[in-house]
Amino acid sequence: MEITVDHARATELFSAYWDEDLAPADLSALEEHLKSCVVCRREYQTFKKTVGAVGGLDRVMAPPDFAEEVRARIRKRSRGRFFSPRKMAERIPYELFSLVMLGLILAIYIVLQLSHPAQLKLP
Amino acid sequence: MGGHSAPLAMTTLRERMLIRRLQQRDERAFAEVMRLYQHKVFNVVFRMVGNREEAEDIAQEVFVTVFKHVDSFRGDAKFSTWLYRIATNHTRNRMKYLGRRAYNTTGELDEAAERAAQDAQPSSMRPQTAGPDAVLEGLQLEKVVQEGIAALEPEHREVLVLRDVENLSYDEIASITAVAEGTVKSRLHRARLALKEHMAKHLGQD
Repeated sequence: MEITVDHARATELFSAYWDEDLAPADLSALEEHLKSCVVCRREYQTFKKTVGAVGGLDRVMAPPDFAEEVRARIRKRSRGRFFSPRKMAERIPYELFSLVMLGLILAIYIVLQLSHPAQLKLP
Repeated sequence: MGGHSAPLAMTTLRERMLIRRLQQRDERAFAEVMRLYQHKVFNVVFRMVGNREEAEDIAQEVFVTVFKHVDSFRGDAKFSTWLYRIATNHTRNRMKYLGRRAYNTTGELDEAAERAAQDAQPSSMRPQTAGPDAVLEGLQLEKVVQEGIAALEPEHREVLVLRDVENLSYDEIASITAVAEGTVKSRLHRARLALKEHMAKHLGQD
């Protein structure tokens, strides 16, 4: 089915048209309309200039000491701890720590059993 | 017409390694994150608030938050998405606070336009080979654009800056702003039309 667009509908489609996000039927209907409608064509030119102007804005750079200022804030808030090497207990996950401890207890138990064999009780 | 942006992706291997190093409090990783993102974050925040001093403070808080919560970053979105989300939230909160104090950006916008004249970054509005009249015209255009952005509704301003300044994809903006992609598109459309009206009014365009 052929789609036709009026002025209002054409304006609604400008943004998606700019972003190349129109469905094929809408795309061809809008392009047909723009060919024949001088008002909408002029409106779209202004729309293009506007969005192009936003994209053409200068990138405003952070000041040269910005990273140092952030570092100073982090040090102050963490009272100097943030960039200190983390303690062993913080680096090893608890699950791994538990497994190692269990293994150690088991090893000690086996060693104790082997070095002190159970004594047979005679009747 | 504008081009398509890259689809939203998970963290890359390089990003994961960088974050891992950051979680281990490696100061070189901190320097790397700052090198990669400080100007992007600063620019986005500045374009949203239109005030350099506020932008500096907000952007610093963004990085403090990033480093404070880096242990909770799980990598289910790109690191930059997470970073932009924090930046957007901080900016939104600051704007609310400043709004309550009848904050005004006009003076800063003049200053921003003057600073842009001295900036070495090339601009399509201010060709390096242009004469004084063209430079002045470019500066006037920048000022009107920035004023137009500042006059937008906050949620419209966010999507406009993320899309048309930072060139992010719809789905990335949806993830950053926590709204549906359809909402991003409609907000963006309204923002662009409002800005078009503002520019027509102040530059005498049709």
